[in-house]
Amino acid sequence: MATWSYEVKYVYDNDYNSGAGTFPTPIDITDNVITIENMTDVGTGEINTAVLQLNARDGQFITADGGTTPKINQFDRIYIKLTDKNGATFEKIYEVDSLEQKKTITEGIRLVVNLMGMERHLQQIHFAKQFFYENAFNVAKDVCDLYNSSRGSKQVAVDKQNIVNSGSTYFNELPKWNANNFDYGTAETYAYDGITELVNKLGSSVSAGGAGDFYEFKFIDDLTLGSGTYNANKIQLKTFSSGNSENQSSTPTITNPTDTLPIYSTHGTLEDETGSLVIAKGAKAYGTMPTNSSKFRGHKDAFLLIPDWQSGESYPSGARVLYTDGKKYQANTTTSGSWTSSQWDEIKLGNLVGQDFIYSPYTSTLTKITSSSGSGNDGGDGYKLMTSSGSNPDDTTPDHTSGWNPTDTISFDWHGCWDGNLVIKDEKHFRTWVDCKTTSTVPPELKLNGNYYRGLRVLVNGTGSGDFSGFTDVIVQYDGSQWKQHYPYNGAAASTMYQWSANPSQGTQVAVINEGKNYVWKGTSTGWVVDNATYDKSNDCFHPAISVFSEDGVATSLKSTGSSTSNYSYGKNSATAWQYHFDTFTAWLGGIFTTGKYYAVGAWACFKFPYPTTSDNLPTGYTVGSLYKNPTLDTNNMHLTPSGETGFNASDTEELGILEALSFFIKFKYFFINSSSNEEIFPFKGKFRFRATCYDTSDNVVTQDFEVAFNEEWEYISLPISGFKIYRARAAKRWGNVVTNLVTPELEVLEVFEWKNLKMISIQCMESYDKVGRFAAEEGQINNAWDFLTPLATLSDGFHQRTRLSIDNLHFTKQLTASSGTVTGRNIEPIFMERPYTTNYTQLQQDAKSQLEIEKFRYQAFEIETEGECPANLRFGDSFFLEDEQVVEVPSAEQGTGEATNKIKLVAKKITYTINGTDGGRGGFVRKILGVKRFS
Amino acid sequence: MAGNICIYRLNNTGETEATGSIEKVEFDGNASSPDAKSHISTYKVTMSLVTQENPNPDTNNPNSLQDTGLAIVEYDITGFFDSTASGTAAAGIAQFRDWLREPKTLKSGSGNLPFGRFGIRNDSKAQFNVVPTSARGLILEHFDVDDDYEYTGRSMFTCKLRFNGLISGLG
Repeated sequence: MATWSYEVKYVYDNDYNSGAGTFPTPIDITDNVITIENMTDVGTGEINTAVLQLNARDGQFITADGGTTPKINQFDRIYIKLTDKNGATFEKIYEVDSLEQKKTITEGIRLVVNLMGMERHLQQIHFAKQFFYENAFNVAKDVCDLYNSSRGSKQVAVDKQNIVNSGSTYFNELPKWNANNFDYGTAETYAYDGITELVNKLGSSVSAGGAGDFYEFKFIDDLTLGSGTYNANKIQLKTFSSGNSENQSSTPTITNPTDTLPIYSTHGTLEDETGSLVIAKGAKAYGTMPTNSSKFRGHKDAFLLIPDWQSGESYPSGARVLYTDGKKYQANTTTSGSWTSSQWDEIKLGNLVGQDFIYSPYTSTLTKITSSSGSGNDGGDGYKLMTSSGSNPDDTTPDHTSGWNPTDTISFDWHGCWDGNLVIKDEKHFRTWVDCKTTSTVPPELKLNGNYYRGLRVLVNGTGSGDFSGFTDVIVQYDGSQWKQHYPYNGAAASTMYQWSANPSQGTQVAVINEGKNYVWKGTSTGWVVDNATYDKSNDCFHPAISVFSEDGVATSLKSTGSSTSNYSYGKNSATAWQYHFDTFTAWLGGIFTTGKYYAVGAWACFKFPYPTTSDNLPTGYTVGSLYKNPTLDTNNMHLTPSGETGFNASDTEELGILEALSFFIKFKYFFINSSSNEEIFPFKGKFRFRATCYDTSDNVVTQDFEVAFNEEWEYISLPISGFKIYRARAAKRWGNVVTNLVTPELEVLEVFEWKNLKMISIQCMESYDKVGRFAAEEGQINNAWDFLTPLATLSDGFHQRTRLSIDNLHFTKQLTASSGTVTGRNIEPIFMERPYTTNYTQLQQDAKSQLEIEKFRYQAFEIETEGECPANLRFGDSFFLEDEQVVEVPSAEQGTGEATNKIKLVAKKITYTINGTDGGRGGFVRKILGVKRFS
Repeated sequence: MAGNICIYRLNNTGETEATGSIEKVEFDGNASSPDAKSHISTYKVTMSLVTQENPNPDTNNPNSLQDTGLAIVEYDITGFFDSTASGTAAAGIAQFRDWLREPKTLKSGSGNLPFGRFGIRNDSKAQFNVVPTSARGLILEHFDVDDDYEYTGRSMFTCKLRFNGLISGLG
């Protein structure tokens, strides 16, 4: 008889139909076994299986429920034990997964029982729990505990997940010192899949929160061999470094030829690298453009959640812990189990984020570390980025308050903002905007790298020459290659425009942004005439600010690192503040007068693409488009990166991703100067109405209203792109338009906003606008004379009010995106990773880098078919050597310990046993090992 | 005993060739059941393994063979039915016909001969005799008759039986 043997027993009756209870005395059905096929020893993402073919003569096991041939039904359990010629055994309990009854002329009656390992139960029960920067040991333990709490009595319990070892038998060998995020809490996850994801994350570097190692896991049946009843109803978790299980006593060598272990066949596979650049897509709305905001948030999360130091654990170099002194440290070597201070370096947020990191690059220029450091920018000029997009960007005086009295004017030439009414299409009232006016030369400050750019718009206020030759008194726009007449439509002559002289209330206006003034068309003989002070409210869309400056933003964390201490926070000078001065009388009299002060009632901020928009007065190191180079923003945001690059191998690829919302921190302060010459907010004020307005290059406008609830408090505002509604501005509420404005009929809104050509965005306080959106300083809650009924007010300040609008962390929210980096030699981009529940950038980047390690590694595998052996030192996840002079070659540079030119070390990823004694072909007891070269 | 060789069919476990009611075909000698017209030409018993052949590349050793145990015990019998003298058909032909079209095994409760209800006796090769029981038996697998009209009255036949069940019951 054969030198090997097998034993098959029926050990669990799910239906109690034998009358012996759930766990009957095991019934030996070995004699009825025809074949045992694909009996596997696997783990790490794959459930064990076996296919048992039974002789079902006379319907035994199917319809006849005999004592020694029990009827087999769903969830029943079968125990299979193989014994090889050396006496080594492999045994496992399986559960019935499906049954196939066969009755054929060639085979008679047979029952094919498809079996699955008991760990399948972990693929039947969900759990949900979020882990933030938790170590792998605890996550595995928790997932198993959560499974145990949800399992039914007929399902196995997971055991040993909470111990590393019991004597020389090791169980949960996962590291206790790493830190990863697991967003299992956002969606139901099968317990088995949770552990799979866990071990997959461990491949990333230690400093990135991974383990710098690859792990395997499997489940071993608790066979309670002493009693032989197989009724423990437990499986034991075993996790271990791939190919380095503590339970493997020695590393066997399979060599060919050999007399002791015949090798029937060897099939090798050596694949090319499958990727050199990995892009991971995370949770929607958790990414940002610019990415600085989400990166800062991700790093800060990672820093705050560094896990506690575990006594007795040896940490690898790069591991981070929170020690008992409340400080955080990073290992500079492999540590001993007890705390040794020389093995650890203290780290602070700056070590993760970087000391020069700017979380709000659209409003901040801060690069200095401390107030006393000699180099770097203290961020005091960050406001210039936003002023470059506003009106009069060439105003080099940021603060006009010095020596200013309430009786003084506010000049139309001061830097300021444009509002949401640049474009008017209200019956015969028409207004549009241009970047500048000229007949021959566009100011170089407006050019992008010295060139015109698509969407640049100019009022040719006269007979054009040079680049504008052929255009007279029309509005032209650069299409990327040439200037084209934009208004009047269809190339019509300027004379077709409505004339101020013919009807003062209906003269076509053009808002010239770089001047902050409106111009009106007075007919072909007079042409375009500045209109800012011609009539009341004739300059209603421009609002000069008395002061623009940088102030501290929302982030208060210091930029300190372990080696240096900072007295600057990341939020130092991060916000841009626009300050406006006005008084109640100005508001009232503004109905008659046309002074700059009248237009300063309210609060505004604005920005425009490219960004910065003009090179007037920019901070050092910045130029037009250096933060966003493209002339318009496409909210699909998948085509061009902010630097104008395409594809996903750009340095700023992570900026890509469909934009979902315009988001920012906002602080609105409505205040006066009190009798102590201090700023005092007006009491009982709040719920200020605000509006964000977007313009496209075709003069379509959309708006979205929001509310700032408190006076002088930072609030986070996020305006979904889908929440913007088409808006058509009314004719200005001016005396000349009085008849038109008596009744404001409903407008027919037909425009479709071109989100691929988003050009400009303004943010404005609506307290100085009427209910249909017209500028009306005399309305609203911020210019009320009764506000001064406070003893703190001082006559010396002339009863004038002030507003200050501060914007910080200005960004768009989008799907979180992370890239493993850029490549130059060979760019192989695998299918993008989808991690829809990963909300933290740091974690997503870890995943991408971990996946890159996998993609870069050349998959090398051998499938070796040998005579059936099942030694204890060659089980799933164990390592072994394959030696073969013909089919194995390991380059000397890649040889690891124990390897040689024709000897490779492999990890057994799948072992399949088959017993097939009757088909006359290849068969008997055969073992097939899939060995894969270990990730290194 | 009658005849030198006898193939018989039991109806219940515990019966033997000598049990009165059983059907049998006796050959040669003083054969009388069902008549004296059955004769054996060859009597071949084959015992073989179904070889599990596993190739061994890169060696001059022959392919690996695993001892997967005895697979086949087969009886291959040829002979003829002789009606030359009587001119009437031999009854053995109808007997084999009926045996093949009727159950070759009997379940527990209705004979309990689950491995086969056929037995064989060969007085000159008793090593392969089989008496069916609940643990073993023969299954009549094949029977063919080949009439050659050059020898009118003689019907050549081939009969095959397979051993089934506990091999310890062989011989």
